[in-house]
Amino acid sequence: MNLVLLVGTNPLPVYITLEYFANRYKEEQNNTVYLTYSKNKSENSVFSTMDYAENIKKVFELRNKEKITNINFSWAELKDITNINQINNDLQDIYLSGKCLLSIAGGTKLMVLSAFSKHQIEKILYIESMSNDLIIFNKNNMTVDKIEHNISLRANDLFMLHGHSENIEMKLGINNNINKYFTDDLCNEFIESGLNFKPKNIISSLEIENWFIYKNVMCVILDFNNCKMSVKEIKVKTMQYLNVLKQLSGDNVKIFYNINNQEINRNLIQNLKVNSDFDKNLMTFNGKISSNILLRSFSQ
Amino acid sequence: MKLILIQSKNIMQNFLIINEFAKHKDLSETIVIFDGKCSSETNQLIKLFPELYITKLKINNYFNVEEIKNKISKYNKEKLHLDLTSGYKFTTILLYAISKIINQEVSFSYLDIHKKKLIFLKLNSNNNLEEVNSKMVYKILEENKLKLKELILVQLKQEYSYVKFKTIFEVKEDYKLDIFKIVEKKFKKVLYKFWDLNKKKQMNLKERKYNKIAIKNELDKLNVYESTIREYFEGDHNKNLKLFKFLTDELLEFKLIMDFEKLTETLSIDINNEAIFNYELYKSYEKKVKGKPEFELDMIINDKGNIFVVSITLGKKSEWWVYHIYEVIHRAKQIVGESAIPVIVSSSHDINIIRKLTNNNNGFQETIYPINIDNFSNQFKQLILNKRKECDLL
Repeated sequence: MNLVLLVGTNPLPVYITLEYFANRYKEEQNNTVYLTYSKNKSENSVFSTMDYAENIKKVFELRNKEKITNINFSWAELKDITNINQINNDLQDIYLSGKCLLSIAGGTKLMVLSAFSKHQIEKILYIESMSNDLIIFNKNNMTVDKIEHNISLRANDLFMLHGHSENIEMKLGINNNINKYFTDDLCNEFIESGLNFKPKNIISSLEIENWFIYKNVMCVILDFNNCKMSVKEIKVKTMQYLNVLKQLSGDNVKIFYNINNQEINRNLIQNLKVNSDFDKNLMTFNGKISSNILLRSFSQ
Repeated sequence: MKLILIQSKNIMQNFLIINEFAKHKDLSETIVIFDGKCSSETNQLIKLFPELYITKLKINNYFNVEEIKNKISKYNKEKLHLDLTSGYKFTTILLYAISKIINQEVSFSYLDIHKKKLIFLKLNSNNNLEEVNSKMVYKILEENKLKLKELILVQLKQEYSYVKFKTIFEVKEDYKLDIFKIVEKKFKKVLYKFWDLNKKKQMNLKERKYNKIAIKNELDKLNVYESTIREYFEGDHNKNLKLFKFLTDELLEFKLIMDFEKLTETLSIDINNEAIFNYELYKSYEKKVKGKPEFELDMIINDKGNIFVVSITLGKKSEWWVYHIYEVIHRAKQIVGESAIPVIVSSSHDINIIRKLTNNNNGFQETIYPINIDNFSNQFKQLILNKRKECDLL
């Protein structure tokens, strides 16, 4: 079996699909993965995704160096991803051998629609962002299988997918408070507060209360108890956090506010409503974050 | 023909698409697919088209093939047009696959946010989607006579209470009636101070004329203020730096509005319909708090579908810029949506700070365009022209 990976600007779901594929078809020989990326086209504000494609391959090889993998990588470049006729032409030139799966976890809609028409494509793989489930869509008889994947990335893997392998100086550790918040199996990784979180070239260093990775999503807890910030200041600070977090781990980040002041809490929620970007990424709570809050935020 | 589209949180996209298709004589029904999270957006959208026959089609789960198939299958004998812009990628593919199977007579469209154009697609003989035609967003805006105010109100939710838009003419009137009264006292004081400071210095003709007019009339008539200020700002104010320093805030803001007015003439931007000021925000801004901006004013300009949200900001301490940049971007997105082009206009000193902070090498993820207030006309003109070029509008 082969896999066409459409690579966009968020490498994480693409990578998870790759891990799923490698695991699912490990018994088969000579599997080919077609890393399909966009060429640089800055005049249209569309960035090249070649670096992300390379990062995906690099992290995959690092994580799987102990095992012998039977995957060959092949590169496919799309010259203009805003032009479907050009995408059709570019994909026409890519020789797909045998049956293929198509991952639509990355790439633009036009890329997806064009690749979908290739007759070699048998099934589609998609990560549902809310539940983080992998969905397999059988093109011919249109059925969906949801698979709860068990691929857990470490924070460093996540950062490396975004090209931060050499630049990040960080200290990982199990936070002593972890049991106060969650059962152990809820988080893949809980990172101690006050760590040396000063990634090079990032706009400013952050002092984050606590952060952890859950279901491959970077989650951050910000403690605004007893703070004298206005709602506006909290909102602006959140944007700064989101900027850094997105650089580290893509769009899939969540911020939990710990706020005991009911008025600020209420105002903040009202203020955040107007921005859809924030809606899905933010959640407020008072006291200690519980498993329920965490799960609720992932089922929104 | 029946038009099918998915409603997401973004109302603007479907608003533009429906406007385009509403002109088609054979459009018999518009079907809006939505889930529980976007009920209010769907209702808002429908309210905007009272003349159209619009059906709401609620989907419980966008990933449930059977549910979507059942709901779409009843249109198997109709001529269908499916818009592929909104919704999850998976749902788009699902709808695309289902519509191809159930219906032979189906066409497609996609709104390209980067190139600001609506692309019309059809299936070719190889069963591939190909672009057969396209229409620039500004053409859709022009043909439907859609104004910037309408577009912004579409985007804004009801709870965004502090937005009150004014045209450039209304803002100028306000200056005459309100701000100039404040400036009167300040300006008089400043001019006398300036006169004291400079009385021993040799002044050029322009400065003499300026001071002569100003003091002779005791600056008591608004029309004299205006002509004096015009004269002052139309001249080379760099020679008059000391005075310039005193005249920041309101007068500088007024200068920018005048510069902008001239610029819109050069670039053929209709200031009646395509340029507005987010006035209420400015009025209510916490100006006097230490370390916060002394003033801010947002100009919002629609140039052929490129919408610029320009924040004029002065008097800010450097440490606040980190926060303020995010604030400007956030506000621009709130007002206009994800496609907003945020611009900050400030002094050369502050522009250097902003450039340093927002340099992509510093890990800044968002895009913001800093413009030096001293060269506002040229830099803003260049930005508008560059954006036109990016969208193949030149």
